[in-house]
Amino acid sequence: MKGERVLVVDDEPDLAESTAYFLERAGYAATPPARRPSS
Amino acid sequence: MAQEPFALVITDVRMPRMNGMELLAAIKQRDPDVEVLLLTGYPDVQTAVSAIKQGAFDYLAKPFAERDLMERVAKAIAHRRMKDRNEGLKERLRPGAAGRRLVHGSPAFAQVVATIERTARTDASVLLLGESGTGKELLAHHLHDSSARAGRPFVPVDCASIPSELFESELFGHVKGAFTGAANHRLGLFQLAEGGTLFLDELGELPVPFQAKLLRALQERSVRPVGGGEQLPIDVRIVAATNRNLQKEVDEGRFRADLFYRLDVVRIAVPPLRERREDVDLLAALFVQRFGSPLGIGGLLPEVGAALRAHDWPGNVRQLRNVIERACALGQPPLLRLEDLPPELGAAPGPSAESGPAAGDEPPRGTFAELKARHIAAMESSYLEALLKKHRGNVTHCSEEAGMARSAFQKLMQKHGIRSSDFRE
Repeated sequence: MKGERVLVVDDEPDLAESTAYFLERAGYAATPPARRPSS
Repeated sequence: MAQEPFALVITDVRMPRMNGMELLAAIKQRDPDVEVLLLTGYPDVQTAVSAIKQGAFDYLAKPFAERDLMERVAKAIAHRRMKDRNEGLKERLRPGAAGRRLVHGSPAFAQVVATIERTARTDASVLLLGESGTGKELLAHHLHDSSARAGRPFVPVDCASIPSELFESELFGHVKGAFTGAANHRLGLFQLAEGGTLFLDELGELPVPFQAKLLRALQERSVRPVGGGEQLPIDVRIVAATNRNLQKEVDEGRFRADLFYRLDVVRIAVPPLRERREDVDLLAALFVQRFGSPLGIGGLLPEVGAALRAHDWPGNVRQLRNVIERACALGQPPLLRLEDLPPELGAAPGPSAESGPAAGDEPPRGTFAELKARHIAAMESSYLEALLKKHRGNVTHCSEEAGMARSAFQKLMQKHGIRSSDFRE
């Protein structure tokens, strides 16, 4: 089930970002991908 | 979108250039199988119903909790996968398609399929009667696929698995704040089945207090979500199934007569497998292909076929499927042998794949990881069935004895296609 591609569409970048983050954390492939914190 | 196969699109409803409803329509026009989950900061039931009617899987009010989002995402992806499986099933059931993989060679079952296909031309409620494992859900699905509602959802409901206090909310939905824990509006299964077919499996398990509410919904063709003030129109065909003698339940006051007659418009009796033994070979071949082919198993020895035909199959097709799946997991290519079958089917006790190869035997084919996975799967399946048999299908008691959470036990049952109702008396 995991690894499925999920497209996130939201005009509020922060909300799109957090949604993508939740999805990726659960193993889905979110588009656009959540930004990774720079090290 | 055109180049990347998304299983799910999550979109806000209110956006400046193209709103979520327009995007939903565009997505569904391009690929009706893509699931769409709408997010809205302005939730109301009408918008939700409208979205579902236009093909959205569900909607979620913003701001949302991660758990609520992930629950809906998991359901949407599961729904998408179910549709994919259904497509494969339709292909297999289509006459003449996929190498003649029709599995109703017997006159008895062919007659049932013919009745199903005739009934599909109407919108009449259908009541399927038959023992557990005879293929009632498959037939309900075939009816849906053969009807004018085929492009709309087929929503199966296992009435035996819904706690009695949750029936109304599960089937009719609820509004935000309707009860403790109702943090958001939630659509019921009737609304999810809009335009399609709602399959009420194990109808005999329907709690008596809910029967009156269901009858009213069917008569008025509308439902009222829990905590909501308005009736929402529904357009759903009902197909119900039971392994109980419903007429007896009516006579003894455990099932409402008026609901029974409402659902019992076209009654179809599905014969048990022992009354259509001609189908055993066909079904066994289908299951060997499904479970054995990936492992290099291409068929079964003649004595295995004879043992399968001689058995009475109290668990019907589902039991046959499980036996073949287990035999494929334990057996070795190229053909299934008698000793790969469980003892009740005539296999002589002795060294088996469960106890490991006997001294001097060739080691089974496959990598260690593959063999280990097959053994674990066989052990899990056999353990679950033994526990369910012991506790007569009571999942709570089984999970307690297994030292597992009830939800984990149910998940394991789902993984192996095992249903508690098959073990109830």
